[in-house]
This record gives sequence, C-alpha cells and structure tokens, in this order.
Amino acid sequence: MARATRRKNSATTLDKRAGGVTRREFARQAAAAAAIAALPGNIALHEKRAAALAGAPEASLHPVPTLPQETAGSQPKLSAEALAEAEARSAEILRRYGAKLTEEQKADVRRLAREAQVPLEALRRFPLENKDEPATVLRVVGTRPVTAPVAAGGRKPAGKGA
Amino acid sequence: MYVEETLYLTVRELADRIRTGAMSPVELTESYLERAKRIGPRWNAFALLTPEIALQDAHAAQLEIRAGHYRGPLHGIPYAAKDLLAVRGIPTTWGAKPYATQTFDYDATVIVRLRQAGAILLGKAAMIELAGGMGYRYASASLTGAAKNPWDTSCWACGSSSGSGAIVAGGLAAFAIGTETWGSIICPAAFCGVTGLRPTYGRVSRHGGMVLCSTLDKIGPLARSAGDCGLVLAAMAGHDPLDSSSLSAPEAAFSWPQTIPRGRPLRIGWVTEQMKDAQPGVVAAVDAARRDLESAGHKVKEAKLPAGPWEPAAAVIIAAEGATAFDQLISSGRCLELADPSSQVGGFVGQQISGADYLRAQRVRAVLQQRMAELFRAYDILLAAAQNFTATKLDANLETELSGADPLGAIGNLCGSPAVSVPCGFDSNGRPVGLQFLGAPQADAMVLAEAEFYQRNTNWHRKHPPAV
Repeated sequence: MARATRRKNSATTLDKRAGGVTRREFARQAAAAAAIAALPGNIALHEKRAAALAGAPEASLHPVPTLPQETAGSQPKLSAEALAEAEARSAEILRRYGAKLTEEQKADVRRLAREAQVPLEALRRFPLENKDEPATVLRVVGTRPVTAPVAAGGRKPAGKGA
Repeated sequence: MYVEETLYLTVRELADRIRTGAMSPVELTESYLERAKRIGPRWNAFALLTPEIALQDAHAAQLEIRAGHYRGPLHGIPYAAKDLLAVRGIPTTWGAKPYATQTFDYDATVIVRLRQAGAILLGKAAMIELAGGMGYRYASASLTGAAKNPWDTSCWACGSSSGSGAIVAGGLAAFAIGTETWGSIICPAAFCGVTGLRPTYGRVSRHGGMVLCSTLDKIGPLARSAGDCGLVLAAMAGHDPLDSSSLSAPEAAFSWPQTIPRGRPLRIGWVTEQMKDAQPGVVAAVDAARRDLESAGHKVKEAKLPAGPWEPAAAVIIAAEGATAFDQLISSGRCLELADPSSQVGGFVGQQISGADYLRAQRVRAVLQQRMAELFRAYDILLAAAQNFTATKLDANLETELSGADPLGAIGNLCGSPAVSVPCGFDSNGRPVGLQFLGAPQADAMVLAEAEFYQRNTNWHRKHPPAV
C-alpha cells in the first residue's frame, strides 16, 4: 500500500513537471517532434519528419511571419523571436562559409536553420529544476586506491573498529 | 559451392555443421564470397570485399577445427562489418568521399573479439555517409550509392547500416555488424526482414569505430534470428578500457543462450502511440504478432510513454556532438564533398547549437531516464512496430515522403536501452514488417529471449527474398 501511494505521488509530480498534458502543449510537442528532422544526425529517418507536420495549423506556436520565397510552404512556423534567432544562425553560417556555397546550398542552410529552431524551442519550454543534472557526468580518473596507513615496522596503527 | 538455401541457414545451424565436420569453413566462405561478388554490386551492399583475408582466416579456422580446437559457435562463420569499423590496413571510408582512402593501423575492438571467436570477415558493409550524422535527403547519400533492398530492388535497405541489412537479407553473409545512434540497426532490420539487435549502451566497445555521437553510439548485430544476435553479442560484449563509455566487466559481460527465469507471465507494454501513423499493412502484421504473444500467455497491456521533448533532445544531442566529432571536416568546408545535398550543409547548422542548448538536452535526457525507470517497474518489455512504414523507394525524397514520430526510438536510444527488431509479416507489396521489443538498460537477454520465443512460434524469420 505504501509503495502504491509513493508511486501515485511520484506520478503526480512528474505530470506537473512535464507540463505536457494540455492540448495546447501536446500540439507544441507534436510540432517539436515533427521538426526534429531539421537537425542533422537522426541517422535513420528522423531528419525527414519535419516537413510532414511543419505546415499543420496545430503545430503553430505563435503568429507566423512571412517566410522567404524559396522555402515558403515547407517551413515550420516559428514565432518572430524564434525566427529571428534562426535567421541570425543562418547569417553566421553564411558569414563564415558563404563564399564556398552555391545559392542552392545557401537556401538549404536557411531552411535547415529554421527547422532546427523548433526542437530547440521545445527543449527550452521543458521545465527543469536546479537539481536536474545532465546525463553526462564526469568520471574521475587517476585516483589512488585508499589504503589504511601502515605504521613503521609494517604494523597497522592501533585504532577502533575492525 | 554450397547452394543458396544453405547460405540462409542461421549461425547456429551453420555452426553445428562446422563443428561436426559436415561443413567446411573454407567452402562456406568461398560460397558467400562468390555470391557477394556476383550479386553484391547489384545491391550496393558491400563497400569492399576482402577475399584474401577471408580465405586465409577460413583455412586457419578449418585447420584448427580439424585439430580439435573448436572455439565456439562463430568459429568459421563468415560475416561483414559496417565500413565505419577500423580493420588494420584496409580502407575504412565511413561511407564518405572525404575519407575514401582512409586506413587505420589497428583493429576495432569488435573486429578483434569476433576474430578471437573465429568469425571470418568477408568485407566491409556499405553505409550512409558518416552514418547520417550530417543529415541526408536521399538514399543515395553514400560513397557507394543507395543500398538496395533484396526484397524489392526498387526500394531502399534503410540507413545508416543499409549495407549490413542488405547483406543479411540477401544471403551474402551469415551475419553483419551495424551501428545505431538512432534507428540505424532497427530500421534496416525492419526494412530488410532480418533480426537486428541494438544492445545496451556501453555493453559493446566502440573503440575503433567512427564516432558520431559518443553519448548515443552503439554497435550491434543484424542476423537471421534473435538467437544468432545473442551468439554474436556474446562474442562482442565485454568491458574495454579503450572505450570510456564501456560498462564495468560484470555489467558488460554477456553469455548466450540464457534461460530467463519466469515467476509470472511477462508484462508487455503495447505502445500504440508509437504506431499512430503506421501503414495499414504494418498495423495488421504487428497486431497479429501481439495476439500471438497474448495467446502464448503473456499479459499485453497498453503502455503510455512519458510526455516530454524526447525526440528534440535526441536530435539536438546528435547534431551538436556530430558537429564536434566532424569539426575539421565542417570547418574546412570539405563536408561539401559529401554526396547528399543535406549532408553537405547539415554540419554547419549543427555547429551553431549552443552549449547551453546541448546541456539542456542532456538534462532533459536525465529526467527521461528516471521516468522510464518508473515505466519499467510496470512492464518487463515494450512492444511496437519497429517502423511505421515498409521499405521506401530508392529515389524518395526522405525529407518529404517519410513522416511520423518515433518516440520509442528516441527514448530507447537516449536511455541506452536494448531493442530487437524481428520480422513479423509483409505488407501488400511483399515488403517486410518489423516488430520491436524494447527493454530496460541491461535487459538484453530478456529482449532476445522474448524475440527468440516469438521466432520459435513463427516462421517469418525463415523467409528470404526469391532466388537470384
């Protein structure tokens, strides 16, 4: 009985933290899940999912500014703030690499940068607490084994306990 | 030369024949090599065949076995390794033009362990460039072109371990080694109608393998049965001080076969939200498989996955780690030599992910781990379609023609959980459907045992493409 109670309490806490049970939030998460494809490296198929839901009305997070012509109609809908961040990212890429890119590649960069914004927004909305550590932790190396000090003559010093 | 049907026997069946002297490792190797040379190029299945090394090893195995030194069930068994695993002195291209002439002066740990078990390396399996780490739009995103699906050569084998999937499905080797960061073992296994195991993170050393995403990369087998995957895992698993993610020796150790003690029916969680967008043919096949498991006495109940941005977290982690793993390639602009238009520029976008966003994704990941630990108190195994669709056409624009979420794939990979995909039927076009068993971290034996149980009672894994 105590175990069941603990579980129930735990589940309640988790649901609150998720903040993902409302219809609106569900729609946001669906949009985020759909847009993960924008980011490279999903390996099998995942980067291809963005386009499918990107145009869905329920995937809209905020009023949507008009997108540049070359990709309109195939882009995730972003808030003005999010779009500005994505455009800044594109601009930085083009500043650094633009001289090496064709116009088609530049358009791809802009599209991918905008698609990449959606999962970032989803992550930032997820409530975390100060105590939530990252899944990567430091494993110390070069430690010395702890041994009991040995007295002169090879005998352990007298002490309490075994 | 052995007949085609012999080349589709399981590792266990081949091993029994080799152990008793009924089959010669040399003749078996020659038979697979002949088939691989004749058919492999049509399917773009191999990046490279290494017949001299294979035959040398096969002769050595034959002599050893005849002298009474039988090493175990992989002794004399020919296999292929994905072309991102280092093999001393021969090209390891990572499937990408900028690395077309790359060689290493050491072997990957899995290559060493499989050699110690007596397995015979036939060659390197084709793959998607950089394991898809920069993103890709087309199946042709590879130095060797699109790997074709032996069931329907107008379709793709699925990446990034596409060559490994095609090789096993086409009877070009007894098993193959693939890798998965997110989906690259489970998807080719499903598309190609073979059995694929993604082991627990850290159980198989990645030393000598191309790094894409150190906190997610895993190495595992594709084979003809869950039992075969268990045998291969048993040979590859174990602690390796050369891989910082390697589990401790007791945690990494794995033996097969195992008998899983059961005090009660298995509690299986049926994950319908994984299959929201599944094609009708996929739904029909996996539903039938679920009913088979229920008939066998398992308790199957709908399981609800925890809510959260797990797929975005996985995507951000892969993109950021991939961009640092290939920083030189990207910063030099040599990524523009890659084959796929999205691969060419995807790394530039990955470089722009901030450290704060990356760490946030890793913190979200830790929350997910706790929630999944809760879920696995209620269920022993989660069950769902391995993919919501069957093999796609070779020329499909993967960015527009494939859609649908993969929460179980993201969750399983973020948590380092083992998963097995087994064939469970075909769609109306005759393309294979995969069924996925996913367990808690370290439950490799349990998922394999259940997959094997399913295969003892069905024969989908016995089917293979028409004779070529």
